[in-house]
Amino acid sequence: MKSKHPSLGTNTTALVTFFAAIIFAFIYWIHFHTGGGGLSTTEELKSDLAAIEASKPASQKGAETEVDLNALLSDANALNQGQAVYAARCAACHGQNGEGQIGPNLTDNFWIHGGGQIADVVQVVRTGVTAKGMPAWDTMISGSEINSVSAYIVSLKGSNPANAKAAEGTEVK
Amino acid sequence: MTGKDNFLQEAYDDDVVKMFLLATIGWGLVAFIVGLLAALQMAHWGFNFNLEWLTFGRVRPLHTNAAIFAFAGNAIFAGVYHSSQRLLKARMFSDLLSRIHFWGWQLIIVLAAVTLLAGYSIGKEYAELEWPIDLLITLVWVVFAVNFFGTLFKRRERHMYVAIWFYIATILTVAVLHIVNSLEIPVSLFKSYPVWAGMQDALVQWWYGHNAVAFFLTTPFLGLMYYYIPKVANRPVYSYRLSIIHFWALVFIYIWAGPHHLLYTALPDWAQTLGMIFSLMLWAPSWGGMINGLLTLRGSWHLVRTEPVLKFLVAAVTFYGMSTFEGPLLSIKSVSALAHYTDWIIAHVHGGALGWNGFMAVGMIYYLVPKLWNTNLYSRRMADWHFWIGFSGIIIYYAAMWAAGITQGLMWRAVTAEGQLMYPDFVETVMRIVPMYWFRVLGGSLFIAGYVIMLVNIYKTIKGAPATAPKEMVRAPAAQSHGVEKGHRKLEGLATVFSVLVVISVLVGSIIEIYPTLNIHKYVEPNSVVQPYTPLQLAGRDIYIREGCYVCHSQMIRKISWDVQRFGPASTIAESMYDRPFQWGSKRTGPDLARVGSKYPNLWHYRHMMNPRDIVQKSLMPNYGWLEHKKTDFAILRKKVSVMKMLGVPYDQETAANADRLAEEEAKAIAEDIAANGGPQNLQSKEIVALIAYLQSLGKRGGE
Repeated sequence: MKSKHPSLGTNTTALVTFFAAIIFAFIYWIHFHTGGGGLSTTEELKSDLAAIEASKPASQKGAETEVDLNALLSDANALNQGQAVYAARCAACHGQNGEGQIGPNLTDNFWIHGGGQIADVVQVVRTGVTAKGMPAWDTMISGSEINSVSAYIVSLKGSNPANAKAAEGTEVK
Repeated sequence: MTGKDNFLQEAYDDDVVKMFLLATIGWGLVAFIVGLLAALQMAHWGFNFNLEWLTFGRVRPLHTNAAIFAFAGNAIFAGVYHSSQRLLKARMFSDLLSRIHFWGWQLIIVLAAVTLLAGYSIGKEYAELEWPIDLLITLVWVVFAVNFFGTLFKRRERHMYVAIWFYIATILTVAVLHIVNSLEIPVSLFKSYPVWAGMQDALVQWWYGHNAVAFFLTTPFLGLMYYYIPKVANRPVYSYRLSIIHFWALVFIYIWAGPHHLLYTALPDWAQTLGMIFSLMLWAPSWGGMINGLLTLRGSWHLVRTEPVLKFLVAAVTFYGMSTFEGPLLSIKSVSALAHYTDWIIAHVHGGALGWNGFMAVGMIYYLVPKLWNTNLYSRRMADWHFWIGFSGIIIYYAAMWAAGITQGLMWRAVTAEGQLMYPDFVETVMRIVPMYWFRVLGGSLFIAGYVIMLVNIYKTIKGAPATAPKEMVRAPAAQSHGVEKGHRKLEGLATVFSVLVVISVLVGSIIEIYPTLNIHKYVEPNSVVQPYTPLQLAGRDIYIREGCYVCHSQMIRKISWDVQRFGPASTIAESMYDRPFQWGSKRTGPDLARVGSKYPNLWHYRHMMNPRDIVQKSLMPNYGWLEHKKTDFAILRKKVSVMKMLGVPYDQETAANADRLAEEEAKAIAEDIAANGGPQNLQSKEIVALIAYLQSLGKRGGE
C-alpha cells in the first residue's frame, strides 16, 4: 500500500475547532453546573410557564358573567363558531347532534354537573371531568371558543335528536 | 509451508468475503423494501393492511435492524475479512470460524425477521431482539472476535494500519455495548425484562443506541474508507498524524454522547450537559476523518469523474461530513428542543445510513465483485446511472424529512398571543407534513431503483466471470522488529496494548455516565410514591411493547413549555422508575402518552384502537382489530410479577401469588364498563382490555 509513506501534515482548522469545542465544553459546564448562573431545565421551564401565564388576557381566566354569556344565544356568529367547535371537538363523544354516546346527552333537561346555565357548561368544558373522561379544553381552545361552544350546547336544549341517550343526572326545570 | 528463511505462502480466504458480499447485496434489498413499506405506511395508514405482522410498529424495527445489522453488518464483515487479510498479510485465523461467523450471522437475521414481525420484542430501539437471539449474537460476535484477533496475532506485517485500529475499536466496543444493554431476565422462551429500569434504562439504551451508530455504522466504515479510498485512487492517505488524532478522539469522545438523545427529559441535567458538550467536541475529529478521506484524492480528483467506485466513495464521505456536522448541531439543547421527536432526526439518520453507509457499501461492492470474481464490471454506465439516481433519491429523502421535521417542530411550539397552543390538535401537525411523506416515498423509491440497477449489473458481472480464478496469495516473511521505535508508531506494533487502550478509552465515559445512575432512588423525590403496575396493566404494557407503540408515541413530557401545555406536567424520574424497559420513545408520529391515563373513557380507547379514524378523522394510526380477538395470557402473569419483584419492584407477596386472578378481576370491571356504555359484551379475556388498563394507568400511578 502506498499509505506506508503518508504525509505528516495535519489540518489546522480542524485542530483549532477541536480545541475550541473543548474550551467551550468547560465554560458551558461551569456556567450550568458549578453555580455559574445557568438555569437548570426545571428552572427554565418554570420561568417560561410563568411568562406564558402572565401574557394571558383576562378572557382566558374565566371572568365572564352569565349575563354576558346569555347574549351569545342571540349572536349568530357566536353560535356558528360554537357549532364548528362542537363538530370538531365534542361530536366524537356526545354525538353529531348532542344526542349522547360515550358522553351524556346534551339536549335534555338533565345535568350531571351544574345547573345547565352557560356558565356551568363553560366550567365543565374548561376544566373537564377527568374522572369521567371529559378532557379539560382550556389548553386546547381559546376562551371565546369555550364560551361560544357552551352557548351552542345550551341552544340544543329540547331539540330531541334521534337515538338520544337516556337521561343522566338531575333534572333542571 | 514455512521455509528456512521463515517465508510463508498461503492463499487469502476470499470465499468468505464473497459470501458476505452477496449477503450484503441481498439483505440490502430486503432492508430497503421494508423501509419503503414503512414510508408508505406513514403516508397512508392503509398500507398497514390491517395485518398484525405488517403494522408499522413491527415493520419499523425490522427495517432498522435489517438496515443496520443485515445490510451494514454484512458489508462490514465483507470489508473487514477482505482488507484485514491483506493489511495483516495473513489468511484468516480459522476458516471454520469464518464460516460459523457467516452462517451464524445469517441465522440471526432470519430469526430477527421472523420474531420481530411476530411481535417478539424487548422494546428497546435497535436492540429489540429477545434474549435467545441476544445470546446468539454474543456468541457469533465472540467467534468473529477470536477469528479477527487470531489473525491479528499471526500477522506478518508488524505495524497495524489505521483501518485495523478502527476494526479493533469496533469489535471490542460493540461487544461491551451489546452485552451491557442486553442484560435481561427471561420470563419465558421469548419474553424477558431488562435489568435496567426507567431513567437508568434510558441512559443505558442511548449509550448503546448512539454508540451503535458510532461503533457499528461509523468506525468500521471509517476503516473501510481508510483501506478502499487509497486503494481505488492509488494514493497514500492524506495525513498519518490526522488519522492518529481523529481515531483516538473518536474512540474516547463518542461514548459520552448518548445522552444527547435525552435532552430536556427527566434525565438528570449533568448527564444531559455531558451528552451535549461531548457531541460538540465530536465535530472536529469526525471532520478529521472526512478531510483525511477526501484529501487523499488531492491531485486525483479527475478520477472521480471517470471511476464509478470513487463517485460512491467520495459522495459517501461527503455525506459522512454532513451527518457529523448535523449531529453536533442537533445535540445543542435549543436545537434539540425543536428537532427531537420530529422527522428532522429521521432525515439525519438517513443522510448517514443511505449516504454514508449505503454508498460506502455500494462503492465497496462495485470495487470488490470484479476483483474477487476476476473479471470486469459488466457496465460502468449502469453504475453511473445508479449513482445519480440513488444520489437524487437521498437528496429528495433528506430534504423532505428536513421540511417535515422543522415544520412540525415549529407547529408544536407555536403559541397564540393569548399564550395558547396555535395547533392544539396533534393530528393537525401530522396532516401538514403528509405531503412530505409522499416525497420520502419518492426519494426512497429512487434509491431502490438505483440499487436494482446495481443488482442487474452485479448479476451480469458474476455471470460473465471465468469459472475459475487464480487465488490471490500472500507471501511474506514473519513480522520483524524494525529496531527502536517511539510513540504511536511503536504502539501500532503492539496489538494487545493497543486493544487494551481502546477498551480503557471507551470505558471511561461509560462508567462516569452510567455508574451514578445505578442507584436510581438517589434521583427520586423521597416522598413521592409510585404504584407498580397492576398485573393487568403489566400484561397490557407488554402488548404495547409487542405492537411497537413506542416507535410512534413517546412517554416523556419534556421540561419545555409547549410540551407541558400540550401534554401536562413534565414527566419525572419517579414515574418511570419501575418501567422495564423504559418507553420514553424517540419519535412522535402520534401524541405523547405519558399522561393519557383517565383522559378518555374506556370505550373511547376501545373504539380508537379498533379504528382510530372513528375518533380522530385524519389519524394515521393503524387499526388494531386483532386485540379484540386475541386472549390475554393471564397464566404467565405470576411469573412476570415475580421476575419484576426479583428485580426490585415493590410487589407484595399477595400480588405475586395471585397475579392472574387479580388481573382477571380488573379486566372484568373494565369490560363491564365498556359494555355498559354501549360497547361490545364480554371483552374481559381479550388483549384490548389489558391494553386499555395500561393506557389508563399512564400518569396516574403517582410520582409527579
